[in-house]
Amino acid sequence: MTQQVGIFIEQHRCMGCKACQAACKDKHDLEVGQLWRRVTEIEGGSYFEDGAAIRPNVFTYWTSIGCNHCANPACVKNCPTGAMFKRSEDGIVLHDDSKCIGCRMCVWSCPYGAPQYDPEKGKVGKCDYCLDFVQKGKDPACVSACPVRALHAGKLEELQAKYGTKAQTKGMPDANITHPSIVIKSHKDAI
Amino acid sequence: MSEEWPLLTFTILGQLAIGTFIMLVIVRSLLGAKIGAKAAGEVTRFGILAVGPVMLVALIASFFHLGSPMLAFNALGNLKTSWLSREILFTGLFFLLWLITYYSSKKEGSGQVLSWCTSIVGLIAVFCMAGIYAHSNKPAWTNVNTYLTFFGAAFVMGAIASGAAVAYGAKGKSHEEPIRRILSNVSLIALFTIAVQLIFLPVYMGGLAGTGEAAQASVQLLSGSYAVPFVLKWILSILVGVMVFYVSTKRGNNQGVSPNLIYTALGVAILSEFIGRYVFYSTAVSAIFGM
Repeated sequence: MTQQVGIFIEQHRCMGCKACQAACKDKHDLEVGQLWRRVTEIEGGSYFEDGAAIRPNVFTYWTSIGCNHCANPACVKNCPTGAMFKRSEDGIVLHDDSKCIGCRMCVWSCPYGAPQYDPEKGKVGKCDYCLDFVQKGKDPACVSACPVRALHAGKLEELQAKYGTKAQTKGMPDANITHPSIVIKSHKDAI
Repeated sequence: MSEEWPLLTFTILGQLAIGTFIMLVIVRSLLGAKIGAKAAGEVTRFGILAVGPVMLVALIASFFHLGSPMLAFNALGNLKTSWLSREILFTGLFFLLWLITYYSSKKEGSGQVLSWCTSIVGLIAVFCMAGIYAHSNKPAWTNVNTYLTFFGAAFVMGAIASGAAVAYGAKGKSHEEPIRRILSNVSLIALFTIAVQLIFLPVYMGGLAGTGEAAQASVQLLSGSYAVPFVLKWILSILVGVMVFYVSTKRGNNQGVSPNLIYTALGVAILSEFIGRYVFYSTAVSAIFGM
């Protein structure tokens, strides 16, 4: 699968505006409660006494995560119907609504919360890497929407050659579970 | 939790049916050596008959879990890697084999090999059921406790239900002594199964406490919001243990034991497993990034 696509996430740039989240919701016309791309905030640190003053030493960083189109997708493995599948040509994990029985096994499997159940449809939905946009040569909606250019779409191999192979920062699931097709440039407090 | 009632019903009734069937096949062959195959068949017939409808209710309940139940048969589409596909295959197969076993057992002398095959399919079905949960993203489930809980439920409920079925089937019949011996033995199996689970409980809790946020959230639920049903489950299980221990001591007694005690033990055992399974579903927390 040399053509596996992925996302490069510049975590150190992200300011938590959630434009990616909103663009995704708009593009896929998602119901309330569904976010195929989600920005997670992690905060920490504390205050310390400096003479008579109390000074902060705190941090916050954000991570934008959708489906990571993993090399070893737990959702695909556990789906009983084959509705969840990984395309061989570009490694995108897609979901075939017509086969889905709404058992939510994928929801119980993914460590990133990518497949989400829609009770109205009785089926699951997930990020499709904005396949229709990508086929027209455009970027996925989340990538285009980012005002600080913290998200980049591309071939995973090329992204890794340029930016390294880090796919996990502090607070994230162990990348060895599913081998997500992402590259992250860490925030300084997320290392 | 509310959305998991169908799964709760499916797993509890499925394990009750499978456990009862396996235990009755064992009981039938042990009794057969003592009182003859025909008499043993008569004593266990009602119990084996009851397994089918219970399994059918379980299977029907499972449909209510699905968002698109009309497509339910798609669930057999990924036997290669999905434990859910395998579970559906083997629980369905168990029901089909039960049908065949039941009809062939009406003819004397046949059906013994088939019953053992059905039992093995049942064991595989319980293993697959547990496999679903053991391969999820919920640390409360992804450990050996899930297998112990599911096989434990099958054997505690199954052993007592087989005892109850034999006590019912043997009413007004002779062969008192071998039957008392069987009741004593199945009681010991139930007692042993409860004891093993109880001994493992601290290992399970300790294991959870040491692994990650979602696991610790489960520990908090077990010791907080769900502490009452969690403790109640084990009090009821211990009560079942006491009852079956009493039954097991009545082996040589001419009076035997009142069938009502065994029926009561079965009722309490099912109730305790039901509450336990409610806690099982309610306290599992997904390890999902950002949630």
